[in-house]
Amino acid sequence: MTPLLRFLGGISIFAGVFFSFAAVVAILRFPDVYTRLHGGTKALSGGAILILLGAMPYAGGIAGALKLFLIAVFFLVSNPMASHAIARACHRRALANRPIDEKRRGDV
Amino acid sequence: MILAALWGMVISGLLGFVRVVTGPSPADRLVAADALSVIFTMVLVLLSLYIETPFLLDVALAFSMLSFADMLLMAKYFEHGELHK
Amino acid sequence: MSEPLLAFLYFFILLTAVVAVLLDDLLSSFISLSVTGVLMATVFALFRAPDVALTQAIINSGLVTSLFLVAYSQTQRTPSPAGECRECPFWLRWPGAALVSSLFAAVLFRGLYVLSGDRIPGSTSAHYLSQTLEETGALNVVAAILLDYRAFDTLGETTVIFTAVFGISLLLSGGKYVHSGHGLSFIVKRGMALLTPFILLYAASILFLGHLTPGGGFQGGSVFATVAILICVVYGTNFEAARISPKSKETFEAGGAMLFVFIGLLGIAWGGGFLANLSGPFPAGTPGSLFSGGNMLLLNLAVGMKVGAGLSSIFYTMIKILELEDDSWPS
Repeated sequence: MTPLLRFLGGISIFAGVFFSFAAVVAILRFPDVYTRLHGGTKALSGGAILILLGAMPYAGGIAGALKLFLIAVFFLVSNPMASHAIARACHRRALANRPIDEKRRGDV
Repeated sequence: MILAALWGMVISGLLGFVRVVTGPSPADRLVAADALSVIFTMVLVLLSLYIETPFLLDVALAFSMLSFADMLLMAKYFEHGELHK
Repeated sequence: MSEPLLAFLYFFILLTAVVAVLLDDLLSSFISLSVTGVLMATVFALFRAPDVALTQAIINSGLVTSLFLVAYSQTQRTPSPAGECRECPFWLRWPGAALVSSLFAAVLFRGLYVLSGDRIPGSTSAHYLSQTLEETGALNVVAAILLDYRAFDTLGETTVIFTAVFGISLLLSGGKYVHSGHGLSFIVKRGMALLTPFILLYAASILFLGHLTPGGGFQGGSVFATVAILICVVYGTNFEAARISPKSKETFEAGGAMLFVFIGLLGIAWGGGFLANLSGPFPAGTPGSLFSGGNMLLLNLAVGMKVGAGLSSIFYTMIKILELEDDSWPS
């Protein structure tokens, strides 16, 4: 039972790392602050929760697993709220949407 | 194996920091800093598994709470220019 | 401990610090500095020091941000007119900065070299690591050093915080409060209403379990202060001044200091020294339970009250609007 759980946990951790890397690529490549925020926070919340759930078999005992579950629940509630606050601040400051320029697709 | 995941997260952190350096407005840098705080919370969690110190999970939980507070403070400052509006 | 990972983190820290210096906008450089703080917490965690990592994470994210931003928002942002600022000669700028930094780094490394390597048997640190459980009854060696072996220094640190609050109140005594009820949006307000009890509960657990797990009075008190600052930011200063009046903050701060000194005087009354722990009237208890370690629970409470109330009243004082007629200090 436990080696199977650890194997699944390892897969989950690697999936989480992949999603976090995808979020960082989104932050680098998207053209506008709103799209960067969207791609970054969606993928990063998913990746963080995958890593935390995948780390639960490795945590050693029920106390560590509960603590990881608590961090995951807190992430699920707080990370979207922080992104909402940043997006609303950008909107209030009237940061204009930049039109996507086809010739400058490779602009980092 | 966890060491490979750790290296993956830290490399992602370095790439996210590129956006902090380049991004033309402070809003881009704020977005990247938000992502970096989540990434480094995960680095702390993976570190607690790697060096088998269970107390680092407390550090990860406290840091996730306080980086959330940090992002709210900086969003408020970016919106109004002052913190007590 | 992985050496390449440590080297990479060191390089990353240097990179963020250099970028923080080179960016134009002060908010952007401050964002880069907060990344530096996160990385330092990670390096401390890699060195198996959870107490220091916890303190670094809490103080850098919560308090340094808010106090820096509120101090920066009080300053005048327009640059001085051209011609008033003399350029520093080139030989003083980059080569001079590099020379001073490398001298400082050399002195630091030479001084810290003694701490690396194996622990010397018979030294003070070896004594602390082996004798703490019998002599103080606490599991956390860092808390035992802070609150039993060197408790008098902790009293000095709380005096430092008191002096800071006192000085800031004196400097900004001529200003007036402009209260507003804006805060952030409705989603954030409702979300904070859900999350605040749990954050406060976690802060209390850091504070009261300081003699067992990493944490203690400073860290718990700082999280309490951060929650007070966050309430002020999210709900507006109207709400915060109505719920947590400045008088209650002053009472908590003074109460924490008086509790600390009173516990110390109890030690004298019993026949031990000032702040005597197990040689005073305080029982050791069973190691690992909440009521163990003698007076460390009460000292954690005193330090937490002091630090939390002091730091949140620093923030609340600094949001005053100063209206000076002719650039004179407020009298």
